[in-house]
Amino acid sequence: MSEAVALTPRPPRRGRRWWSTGVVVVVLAVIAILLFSLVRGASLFVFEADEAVQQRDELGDDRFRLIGSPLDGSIVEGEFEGRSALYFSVRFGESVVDVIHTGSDPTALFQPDVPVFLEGRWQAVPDGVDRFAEGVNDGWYFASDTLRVKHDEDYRDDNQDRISEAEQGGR
Amino acid sequence: MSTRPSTGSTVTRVIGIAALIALALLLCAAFWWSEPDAQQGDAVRLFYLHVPVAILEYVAFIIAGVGSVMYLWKRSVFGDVMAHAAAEVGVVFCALTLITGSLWGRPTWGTYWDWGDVRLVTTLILLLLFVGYLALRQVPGDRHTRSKQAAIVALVALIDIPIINRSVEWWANRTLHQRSTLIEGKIEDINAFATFLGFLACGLVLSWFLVHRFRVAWLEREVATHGLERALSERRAEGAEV
Repeated sequence: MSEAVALTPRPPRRGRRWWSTGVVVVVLAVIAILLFSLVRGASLFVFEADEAVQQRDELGDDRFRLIGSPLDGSIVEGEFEGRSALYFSVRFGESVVDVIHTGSDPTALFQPDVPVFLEGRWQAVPDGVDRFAEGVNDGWYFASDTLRVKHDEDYRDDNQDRISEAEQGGR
Repeated sequence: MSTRPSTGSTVTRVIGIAALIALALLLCAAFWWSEPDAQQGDAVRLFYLHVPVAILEYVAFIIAGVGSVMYLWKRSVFGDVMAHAAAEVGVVFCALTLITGSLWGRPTWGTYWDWGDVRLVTTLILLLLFVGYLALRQVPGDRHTRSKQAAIVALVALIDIPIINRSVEWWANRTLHQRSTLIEGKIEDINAFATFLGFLACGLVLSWFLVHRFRVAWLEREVATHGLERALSERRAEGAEV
């Protein structure tokens, strides 16, 4: 009786197989693209302000990311080449870099001493540009078109000062 | 009296009700009891959801990894089904992590997404690896071979978790993400309590989903197994008629 039983497998459902295989292939392709993007993103070199100053000659006209914290009193709104612009200076380590940002407006977190990531390149200060309020004014500025604000890892209540004062008996 | 088929039980109902209560308390803590952050203002309220969901996403994927090891080592069916269920729940939590993170990024960083941020991109890669894992589990073929391949993919994907978690320390000054808040104890008072509630609520939701998905996956496996037996019986019947 066992010879009469056809136990050969039926043909698989092709649609389902191709759908699943297609998803696996697409996922692998997207992961490859993401890794490429990450490597490429990393190739947009990141420099802290002091490194950017030290390597200004080597950087030349290259686009890179600059990290630093805006100096207190340095942020001034104005115009540059017919567009609204922010003039300020950032510090990292011992060096200060003057910045003209002409990209989209930063978030409300943009303020002195809160680190920022800027994208752009070194430029010589053109004639007619006012001196930077608290800047190094060395004839160079960082022409930024992208500004990201990096908040820190500390979380404090907005009214923490009042709590501290209350704990000390108030004023 | 008829009974409806269900994956629910007394334990899952208790977990489900506890999860609803914890979610309600989390909403109160996040929106009413806690204060805005001195630097971020109201945007900080996303912290109470984003961080717990992100950490619990790791937990779900690690459970998937443990299940995968159980399958590769002992051919444990329980481990295989658990890995499948945990991976699915982990994918949902991972997607939530990216969505809540993007919503938080816009008012703080100034962008929904940053391709230069290692944590963002490696989290997206983790999500895609586990989407691939789930797709692989749907590929027709020998069940053991498919489960073995999926288990290997899960274990390879787990390598990404420590990279995601430590990236903010390894590239501390070169990434937009802030450094670790919880490990360093940089959150206090009612904000810490709201974060605790976030972990409790999301943990209960994860447990509820995991138990139900495990039971559904187990039933699917049973149906597939018995379906095969039924198909063989039908073939034998066909053969007998010839």
